[in-house]
Amino acid sequence: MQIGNEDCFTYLRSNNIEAMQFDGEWVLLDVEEHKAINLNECGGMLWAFLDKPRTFREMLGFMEANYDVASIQAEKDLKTYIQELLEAKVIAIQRKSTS
Amino acid sequence: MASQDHLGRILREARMFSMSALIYYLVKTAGMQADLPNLFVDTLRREAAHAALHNLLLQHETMQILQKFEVAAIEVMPIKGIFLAVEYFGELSARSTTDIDLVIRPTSMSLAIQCLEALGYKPVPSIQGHFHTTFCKRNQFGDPMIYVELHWNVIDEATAQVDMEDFWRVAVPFSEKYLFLKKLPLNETFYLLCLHGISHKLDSPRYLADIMFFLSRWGAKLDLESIFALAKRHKTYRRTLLILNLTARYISIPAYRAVTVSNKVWDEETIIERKLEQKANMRYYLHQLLLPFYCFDNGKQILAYWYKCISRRGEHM
Repeated sequence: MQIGNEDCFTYLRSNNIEAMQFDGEWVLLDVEEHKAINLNECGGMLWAFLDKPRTFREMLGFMEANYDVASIQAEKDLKTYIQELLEAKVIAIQRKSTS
Repeated sequence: MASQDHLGRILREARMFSMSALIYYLVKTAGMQADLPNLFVDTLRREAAHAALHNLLLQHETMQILQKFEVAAIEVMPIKGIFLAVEYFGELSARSTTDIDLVIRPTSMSLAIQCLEALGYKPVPSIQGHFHTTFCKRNQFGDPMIYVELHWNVIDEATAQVDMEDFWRVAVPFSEKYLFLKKLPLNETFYLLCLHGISHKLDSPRYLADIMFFLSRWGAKLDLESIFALAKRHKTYRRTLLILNLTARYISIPAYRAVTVSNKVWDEETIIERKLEQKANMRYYLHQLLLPFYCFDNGKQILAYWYKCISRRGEHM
């Protein structure tokens, strides 16, 4: 799936993930795949921001507000990062409810 | 600055008694990392991180069980473990946890066992005289196994008269989401921590360390008089006093005056050395022999304890 600005999709934390902060870093436990994952600072901030389902645009706004990067670069970085988190099954994507 | 030998011994004992997580948490919250050698802090941190990951797994398993119990309408009070770490120690990683301890009513036992078995747990042969039954499951992340203890009491019934209704009566719903998941108030949580330590004969410094940490953080809010009143009803008064008496050697306890129970027989070094050296000396045996006289409220309890020792019905006091 192409990751982009569409507001009809939201990103959310996967159900199979247990998470905790240790020394300020997010540590995730995938209880289905039986593996532990350490998130870097950016990943940890995104994970914390995904306390509820978010659109790409909301996540981009959050990135721009917290990182001193140009908008175009932030979008590119975010797409890469979301792709990595999706591949690791740490987050999931769902069609936004229209109700 | 502490010597290398001293720091080495702290690391060795921390590992032996599963205290690395708590010590690291204390070092961190006191802002002492920079004052200690990097190797010391890094070693503690690595062990604390490992314990934190295991706690996270236990948290997942605990919630699976509790949700199943909630659906089955089984009243349950989690004690010790991850709830103690999160509620009273400050965070999930502040204290290492080895198993999941759940108090249920005896009438719920067969239904609770069905729930555990549905989640893949298998019974572990238990020793007669225990006040809980144990289940285990393979840990998909490696060692150790995941253990669940279903308690119908919190201390050996032969050496105390604990009325579990005293706990059920004051337990409150854990949150609005739950009808059957209960949590104990502060006083009862502390009292259970004391009983837990003494039921293991305080054979690890971890028990006193937990109690000291709890007192240092929550001591001002504890109502020791009501805890003593409860202990008297349960015939666990002297062992509760002994715990506080020993703790008062190290920290000042709010609203606590020295008590009359002698603690001369108690010697942490003997306990620690016995574990570290894997062999017991005469002083250790003397300690084990005399401890009941300082712990129990009456002769009947002492006799029950000795009978238990002779008939090898468990290690708990």
